[in-house]
Amino acid sequence: MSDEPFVVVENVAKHFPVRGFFGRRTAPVKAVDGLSFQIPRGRTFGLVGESGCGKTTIAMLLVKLLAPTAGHIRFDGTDLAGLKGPAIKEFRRRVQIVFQDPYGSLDPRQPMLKALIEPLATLNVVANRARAVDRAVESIELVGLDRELLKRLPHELSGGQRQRLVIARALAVGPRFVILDEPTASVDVSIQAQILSLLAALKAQQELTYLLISHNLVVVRYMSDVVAVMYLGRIVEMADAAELFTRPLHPYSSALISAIPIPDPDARTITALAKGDVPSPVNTPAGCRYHPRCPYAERVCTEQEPPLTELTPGHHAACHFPGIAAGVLG
Amino acid sequence: MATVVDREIVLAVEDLCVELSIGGTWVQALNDVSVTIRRGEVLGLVGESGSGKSLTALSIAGLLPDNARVIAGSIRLNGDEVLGKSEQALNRLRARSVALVFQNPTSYLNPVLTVGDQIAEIFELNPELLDDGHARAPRSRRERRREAWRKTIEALRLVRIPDPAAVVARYPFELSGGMQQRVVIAMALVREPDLIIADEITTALDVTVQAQILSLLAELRRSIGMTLLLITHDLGIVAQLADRVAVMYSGSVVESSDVSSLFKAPKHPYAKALLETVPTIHGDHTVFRPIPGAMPALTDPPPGCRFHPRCPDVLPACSTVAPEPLAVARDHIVACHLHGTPRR
Repeated sequence: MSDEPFVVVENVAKHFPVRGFFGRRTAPVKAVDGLSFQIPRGRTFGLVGESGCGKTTIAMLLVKLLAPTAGHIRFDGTDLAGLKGPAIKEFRRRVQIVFQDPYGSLDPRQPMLKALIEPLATLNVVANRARAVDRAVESIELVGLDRELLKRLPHELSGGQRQRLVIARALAVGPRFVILDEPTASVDVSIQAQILSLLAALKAQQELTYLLISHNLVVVRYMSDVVAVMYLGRIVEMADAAELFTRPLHPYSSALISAIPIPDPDARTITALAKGDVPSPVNTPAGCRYHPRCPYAERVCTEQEPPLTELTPGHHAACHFPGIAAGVLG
Repeated sequence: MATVVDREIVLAVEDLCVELSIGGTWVQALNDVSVTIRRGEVLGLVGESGSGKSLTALSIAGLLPDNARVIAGSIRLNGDEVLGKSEQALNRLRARSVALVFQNPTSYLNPVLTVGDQIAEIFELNPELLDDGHARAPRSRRERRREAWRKTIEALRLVRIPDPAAVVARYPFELSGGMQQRVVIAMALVREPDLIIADEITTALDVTVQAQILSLLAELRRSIGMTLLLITHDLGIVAQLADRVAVMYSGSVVESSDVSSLFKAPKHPYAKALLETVPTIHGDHTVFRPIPGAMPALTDPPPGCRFHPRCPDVLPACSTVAPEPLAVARDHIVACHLHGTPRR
């Protein structure tokens, strides 16, 4: 225990080497490139961005499935890099992850009961099998599923049931910090609403801390206390959720917000503020990484990368002209 | 858009029933589906996975898979019955009258042909497209090729592809997902079809690229007045683009009306509930209400109204009698016992 925030990410970078012809090393993919944020205990931190921005790499780094190329990640005061042996098991009991595709994270030939018991056994959460079965039943009922489903195979469940099951599996070991990587990307809207309500209820009930990763701004807005917008491996804006969505300062955040099709036929506001596509993270543009897509880019944007700066209390943005796109959002 | 109601009907699907073979038994997948689209109109067909949106689209294009069969109903395109047409006639239909754009553009582009070659191929197969009506039809092969090339570049420009003269020489893999989708849209537009069917065309794209494609569609809708069947699970997209909307649930159209009536005063409990599942950002708080339960499996549909096990306003009749579609206002049809008893 310490006074510092529950989860601390400090100047973290993760570069993946790319092997070219004859295995020669070429420029690395900078999936995450100098990222810092903190998550206080009991809060939900939302991370939004488009494909290739490094969202999932951050998730993998936080659960120690990948090691950072540079920087430090501390969980409850302990640096992840120093974890060894039993300390890793202890860490895995306290930090869990729910991936996007529940079908891909379940063994197709493994009945649900086995899928739930396995982590309990590997992480020495329970003393014996009988206790493990009890815990599996407890956690499946916690997510609103019938215990009958424990006998079934993954393909015998609906998409919503599978997603609930992987949530149950993550929670069965009693974690304190849960990373949700696109938890509703593979389900329909009516099921999405069920899963989000469930996640919100579980968080309150079990006093969890969440990192929510999503490309869906509406989902992030609904679930999060603080939101960070990522673009090509960097955070370009970070603020309280309400503040970020009502007063975005970075043109990319404005582009994301104005891209949401609002379900109101009288507000036909959809505008494409970002030009072109997300460039490859192999050749990140010089200067501000967003400048080739930014309708407001000036010369300085092509030359100097703007640092993430706290512009108003708690509201950080990395832009040479913060607030320039403010007028376009109604 | 008030006059749209009086325009000629391009597509009329009436009481379409389609069965699917699942594990050797035939189950009903579409029940009496009726939709109409008038010229220049965008109809949003909305529903969750398994509701029958795509099956409806495939039926219209005569592209039903082998494990599906039409058992009743009619599909008329410009008054001409599609059902029962020969494969040859269907090919003709798909070449000129109906164009389809799907979710994943890579599966519909030929990887070994350049963008220009695959668009020009459309002109080769349909030489009448080169005939502008007023001008002299290009006669020599060379003249035709040159004209096809010119029209190809024009089409790429129409879908806002930057530097179209360079893009024609590229292969699909050299383009991003958003650019590929624009190429597929261009290929649909050059055929000057009576109807374009767009099935979840932005689902695989990033949000900012989706916004580009949606604003392109909005622009094309104004500039060339295309007739579009827009299939999506996203109510936001329907609200942004459609003139009229049909909501599907478990193989039936439960409500259809003009877009503003449906979004302001939905009548069917499922349409109402579906609107409430979408959290909105604008406004003070983000509230939404999930619909309990899940859509029934086609193999085991509940008796009566298929939504009744999840419906908050269920009546005794709902579990025994399937409600028939009934007009509650002009061009506003609801299939629900709460809104009157059927006339038939």
